[in-house]
Amino acid sequence: MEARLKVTWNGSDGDYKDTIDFDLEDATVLSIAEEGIRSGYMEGVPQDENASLTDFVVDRMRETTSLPAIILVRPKTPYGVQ
Amino acid sequence: MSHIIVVGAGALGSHVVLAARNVGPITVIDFDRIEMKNVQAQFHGKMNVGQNKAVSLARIMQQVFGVKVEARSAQLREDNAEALLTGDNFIVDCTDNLAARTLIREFTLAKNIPCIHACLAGDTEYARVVWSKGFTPDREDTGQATCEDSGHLPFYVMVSSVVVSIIRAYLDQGTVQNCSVTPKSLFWF
Repeated sequence: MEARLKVTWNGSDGDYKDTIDFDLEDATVLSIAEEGIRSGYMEGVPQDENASLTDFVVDRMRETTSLPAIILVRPKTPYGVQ
Repeated sequence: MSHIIVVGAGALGSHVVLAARNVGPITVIDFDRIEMKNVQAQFHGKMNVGQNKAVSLARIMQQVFGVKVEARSAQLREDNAEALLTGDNFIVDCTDNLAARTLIREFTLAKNIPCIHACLAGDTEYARVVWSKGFTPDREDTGQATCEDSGHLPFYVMVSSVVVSIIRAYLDQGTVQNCSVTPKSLFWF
């Protein structure tokens, strides 16, 4: 199954220009996303040659009636800000 | 629904209470006290420094808006979760630690209580608001988000608005929505 790859980086949210395999390992997904940002291949995210997605999280959402399958690469969110 | 229960009255939770004041009855839970550094980015006033966040917030909501908010000056734990959360309620998790988030998630799933978790990244340039069923708490190893800096206040307000939109969608239409939030974009899923 193919999936849309969405990435959040430095406050911007964008899509990888190609779909990727839904079942790729997390490390591979992170590598694709990182290289996508570094090379400017991520629509909506400004190119950043120093992008590093170490410690980012990979979420997977299966296809629904309203959305295709999505892999979301995002920062960790431990806080509610007390 | 009996009450919207907001757990955590910090930068996010205090603004959720403010934004949800016309949605339904609200209960806010927090054991912490207001510090001077909190007033830059939280809906707490300088005059209330030293007071319990939940109690102070309830008083402000009554004084400013005439809205009655129930306050619980307590730290949510396994032994008091039943008393604090059970009922025909909608839970909003705005806590700041893995233990509390895990407890809220597991308790609300077990009791079939509707619950969303509002979570911010350490750099406060990303947030997600997610229903318990699809929620996995992240570990606390990326640096503490700051609540002293008023520069992040617009983002906290933005995330609070998303929280209230999700509550309304559920109460009005029975819709379950999740949202991935950056200062520039919302992604609903």
